[in-house]
Amino acid sequence: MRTMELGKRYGRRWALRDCTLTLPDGAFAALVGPNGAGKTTLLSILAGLLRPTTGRAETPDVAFVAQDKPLYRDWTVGELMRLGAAMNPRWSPSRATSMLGALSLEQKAGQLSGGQRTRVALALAVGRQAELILLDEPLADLDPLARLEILEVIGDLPATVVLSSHVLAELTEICDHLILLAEGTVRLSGSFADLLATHDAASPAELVIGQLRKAAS
Amino acid sequence: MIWVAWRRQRLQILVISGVILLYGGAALAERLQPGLTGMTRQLAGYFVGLVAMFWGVPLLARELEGGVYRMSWTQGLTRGRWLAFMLGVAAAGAVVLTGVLAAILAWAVSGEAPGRPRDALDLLQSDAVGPALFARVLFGLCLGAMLGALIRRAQLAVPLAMLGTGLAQLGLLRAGPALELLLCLLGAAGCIALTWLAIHRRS
Repeated sequence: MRTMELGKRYGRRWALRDCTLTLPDGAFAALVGPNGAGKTTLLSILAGLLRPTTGRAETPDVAFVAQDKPLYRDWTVGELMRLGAAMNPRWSPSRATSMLGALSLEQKAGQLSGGQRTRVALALAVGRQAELILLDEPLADLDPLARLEILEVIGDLPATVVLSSHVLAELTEICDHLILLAEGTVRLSGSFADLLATHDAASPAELVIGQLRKAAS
Repeated sequence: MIWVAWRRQRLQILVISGVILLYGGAALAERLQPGLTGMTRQLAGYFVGLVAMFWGVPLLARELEGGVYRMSWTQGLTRGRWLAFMLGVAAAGAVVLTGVLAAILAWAVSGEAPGRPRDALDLLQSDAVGPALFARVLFGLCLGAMLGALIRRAQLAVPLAMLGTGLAQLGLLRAGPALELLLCLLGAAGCIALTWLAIHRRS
């Protein structure tokens, strides 16, 4: 995945500016930054939902899971899987089914818990065999137990993954790359190992906090 | 994908089918009770508005209102193609259901005594049971879809769709079936173009 000088302007305000990034295949990137830093804007552009004002993005086949995991509420899980098969040329039923776990195909999407909804959304993403999976705050609306479960599931995704959060701690376990955004610009990007070495930081938290302080001053 | 589009608007199609069933009931009542003559034709004047409100508007407003378009437009299908399937299935369904309505109306009209005096309610619809009826329904469907896509709120788009179809029908009263057919098809095409723009500009 590559982006070149990506920018998005709303009226006079730049939600994202001069965003140039590269991510190697198979990387797990944590997209971190304060609220309003431009995380959702960046993910929406990568997903093809937003047209950038400047620059461009080169992405492989990409799946996007929005923060509230939107699904047709009156459809059953089975019907949503049929939608995935109908709308994606490379659909793999077995991959999708394994992501659903113990979930019944007869259940209506509107009656699922947060964790179950996340599983269905992820099943759509892995079923189509997306090479890049974008997850916007995937853990935000989950209870602690579901958080652990979904974090493990995400860690096993067979794709390049970018997941955003404003809580860094829950991502450092599964992520090997970091993209730090603040006020619409990229403050840091690269592998955790490289970033820790070049910035002489002891932990990801120290690294991020140091950069955010710098950005604020 | 035809299945997806059908599943997504199944409820709307069911509602409109129910409306047509009621028209059938009205036509039957008219046959049994000569005093009710002309009732079905008068009620049919509201059909276009009902299609616009209960089928056209929710077609896209439901997608945009709750933000579920972020799921449906990020599958492996461009949103233009997605829109084409949604509108295509809706239009095909509307043509079939309008065919049933036309048959009911033809049957009801065939039982009317010739030279029956016209009353004010007749003004709500022109007499055409032929191609102009189909064009009128397609226009209503596309107008509703466009309003749903532009306004993105069903609550606001529904009354506007009712107003829009009502005004259009009043405006076309003296047009005659041929001109009405042409104008309705042109209007539908214009609505589709604006809908397409709204969907593509949505960002």
